[in-house]
Amino acid sequence: MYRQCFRLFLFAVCLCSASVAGRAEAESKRVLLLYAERAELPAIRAIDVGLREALVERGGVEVFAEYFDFARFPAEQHSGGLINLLRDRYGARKLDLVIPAGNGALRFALEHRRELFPDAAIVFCAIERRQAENESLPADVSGILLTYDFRRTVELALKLQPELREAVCVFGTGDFDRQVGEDALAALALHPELRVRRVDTVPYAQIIEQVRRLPPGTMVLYGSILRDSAGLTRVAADVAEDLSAASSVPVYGVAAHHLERGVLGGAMLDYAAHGRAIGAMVVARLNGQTPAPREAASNPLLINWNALKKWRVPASRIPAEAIVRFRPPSIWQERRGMIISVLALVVIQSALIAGLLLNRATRRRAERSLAESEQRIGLAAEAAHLGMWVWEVSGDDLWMTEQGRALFGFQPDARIDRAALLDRVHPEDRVAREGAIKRALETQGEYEMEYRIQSSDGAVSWVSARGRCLRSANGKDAKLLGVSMDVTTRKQAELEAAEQREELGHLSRVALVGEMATSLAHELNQPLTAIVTNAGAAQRFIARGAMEAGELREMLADIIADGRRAGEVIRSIKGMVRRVESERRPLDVNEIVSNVLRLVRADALAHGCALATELDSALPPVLGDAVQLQQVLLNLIINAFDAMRKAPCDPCRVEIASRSLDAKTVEVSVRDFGPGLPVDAPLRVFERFYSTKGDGMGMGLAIARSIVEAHGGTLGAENAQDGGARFWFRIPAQASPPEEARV
Amino acid sequence: MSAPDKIVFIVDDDASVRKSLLRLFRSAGFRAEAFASARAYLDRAAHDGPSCLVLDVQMPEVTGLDLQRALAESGREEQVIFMTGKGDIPMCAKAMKAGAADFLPKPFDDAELLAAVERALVRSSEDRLRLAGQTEARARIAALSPREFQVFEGVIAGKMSKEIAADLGTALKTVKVQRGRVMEKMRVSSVADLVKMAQQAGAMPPAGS
Repeated sequence: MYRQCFRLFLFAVCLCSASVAGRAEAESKRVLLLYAERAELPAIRAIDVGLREALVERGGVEVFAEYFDFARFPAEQHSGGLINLLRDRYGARKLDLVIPAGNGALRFALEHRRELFPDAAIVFCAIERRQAENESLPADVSGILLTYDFRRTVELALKLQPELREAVCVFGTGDFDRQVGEDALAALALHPELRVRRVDTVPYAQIIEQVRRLPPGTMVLYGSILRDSAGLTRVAADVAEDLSAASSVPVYGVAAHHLERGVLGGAMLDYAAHGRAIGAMVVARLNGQTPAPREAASNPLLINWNALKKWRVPASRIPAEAIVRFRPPSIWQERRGMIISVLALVVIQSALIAGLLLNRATRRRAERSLAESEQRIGLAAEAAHLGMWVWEVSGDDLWMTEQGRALFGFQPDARIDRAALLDRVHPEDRVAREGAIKRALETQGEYEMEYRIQSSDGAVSWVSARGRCLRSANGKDAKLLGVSMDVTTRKQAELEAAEQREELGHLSRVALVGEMATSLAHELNQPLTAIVTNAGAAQRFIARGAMEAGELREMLADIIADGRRAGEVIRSIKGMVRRVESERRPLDVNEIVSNVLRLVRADALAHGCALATELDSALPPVLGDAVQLQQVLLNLIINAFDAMRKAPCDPCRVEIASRSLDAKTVEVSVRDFGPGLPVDAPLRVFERFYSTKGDGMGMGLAIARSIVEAHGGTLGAENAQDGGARFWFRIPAQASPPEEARV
Repeated sequence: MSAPDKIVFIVDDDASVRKSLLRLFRSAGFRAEAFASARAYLDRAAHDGPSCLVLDVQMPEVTGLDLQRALAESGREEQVIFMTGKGDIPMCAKAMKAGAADFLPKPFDDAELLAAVERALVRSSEDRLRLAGQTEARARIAALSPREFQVFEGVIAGKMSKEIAADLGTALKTVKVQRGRVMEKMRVSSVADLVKMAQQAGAMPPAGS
């Protein structure tokens, strides 16, 4: 933390000292501009502006400027006065850099450098290339050399006016004018097809007059007139304007600032750009670098759009590299921002409108599809005889479709509430229905139940209802919504099917018992015989007077026991043949086995079969119908007897076993030592009307299977390892263990 | 009433039936013994005296009919009274054919059973007497010499002494001496008695030989 602060502090100190030092250095720079001509000349002005831009940008430079106006006051006439003036002005000031602009200024500066500013560096400007070749420049003098590019200007003219046959070359009589004029004539000379007319000796007014009537196929090439043939001083740019205004043919020039005065164009020297370039060089020099003198980049081809139009030069002739100036800006250029804004607005608005239209279409479609969907649901509900309803719990208001109202027997406009609906529910089903609704509300879950409704005339119909509890976000307003349908027909069919199933089961049990009738008779006859015999014996003892009380008591006890035994057999038979409604109770499977064994014992004897049992004493209870399960076991055992009867058996034994496969399943198996199941179709025995017995109907096992499956179990058969078949049924143990087991 | 050496055997797998029958026979003055299975009965040494067997037809493993057959095979001819829980005719016929004394469908009248037992015991006594006579007759026949036996066979076939002598190729006089010795050994005084004795022994030769 402290270290970081210290670092920041150091950094800040460095920054401050750097800026202080920079400022001190910048303040010490003094630059003197020496212009050969007067300040108002456009070229001078342009250079001055460019130069000062660069120096101001650098900052910390004190700029002084002197305008010698050599065109009007030649140097040789009053250089002494100039020297004195400069010495007076700058003798006490240490100049760092002197910038002579123009030939005369450069020559003056070099001549009087020692006495006037011995320590200042010199960067020249506005020096034409050919002039520089004539001078011998010291090594520490640098600058950028200029070119008046008449050659490329003439080439441009030939491109814009392919019909060109004659060129009028205009230049003045000043030193600079003549130099420029020579360059222009030299460039024209490169094109011998052009007839060249020079007007340097023609009075200025006449020149203007002449150019007014020039025929097509002619050009005016303007160099510079600082002094006309009459010795009159002129501003070159003004001349350019006069020429352009008067001329019937295009006027070409080489100075960029002439373009705005009406000249058509040319490879033009841009004094402002030159000034900026020199400025950059001066700044470099002030900063301690020494750039070598260099030439300016080639002058750009500039074209004045207005002049082009005026002299009817087709714009298609403009070369690709030319820069067109003063072209009226296109609407796009002029109002770009606005156009973009307007366009954007239009686009946004269009998008908005499109969005709204789309939205409307979507909504309409949604509305339409909602309506269709509602209609479809309505149709489907109607077709399915579904009554839809929503019950607002807090307001106790029950909304119901017409179908629903018809189902419950409500008038179409009657208000329905919970009590009104409950009134229609069959009294026996009311509690269960209320419970189901309560559960659905409490758990916010589903509501599903089947119940009866009773109309005022006592007719009962069955309703299947399914619903779901919905609760609003705040959890207060619960509603129950769902559908109800009349399932009376299905219910009746189910009940009939159940009845038929029970009837079939009953008939098959009766048939089973019938099959065993003689065996059962024996089973009954045993106790009856014992009773009769005991009674007979007692009579005889009494007749002989030899009846002892103890003996009599014993005999009577035996008689009672045998009577009970007979009663049990009869009860077993009755249990089997009785037509009872199926009822599920927790059952001890071993008890079922014992009951059945009582019934089949006699039959086993009749078949000469031994019965062996292996019962697991720790079986979990199963939930089932005792009579039906006994029927299943009876069936399996009798089948086993029959199997043993068909073939000689060894041993003649039927083994009955109970066991729990896991805590969840109880298995009872019957194993015989008969011929076993047919190898090719071991499980065909379970099909209806399939019988291997000559006298069998083939229903026994099929019914047994349906009983076992109704108990959620399976009935199976397999061939046992040492011969014979093993039939078994497995039933799930009662789901919840008894209380004792849980503790 | 009855001789003390008479006995009623009971074979029934049903304990309470067994118990009640024992009581009934005791009340009627019979000595009775009960067995839970055929095998248990067979294990018991044969009774020397009149007896009858009250037998349940339907029993596990060895049935009543099986037992009857086993007894006949081992020469223990018993007066068998069958009891059956289901009076099925074929079984009844089978039992009677095999020499059953009686066939009673359960539950039966106690008097009926007792009467049947009485009858069976009488028949058993008669059998025993007949058996005793046969044994005696056979013993006497066995004492004859081969030549005497040949003469015995000729006499019971109703042949004259002359015919027998011709058959045997001996002198008439010799035959007459041997005939006298046969009558003596067989302890009979007439030909009729001799024939009766031969019948008792079951040694009647086929007629016409």
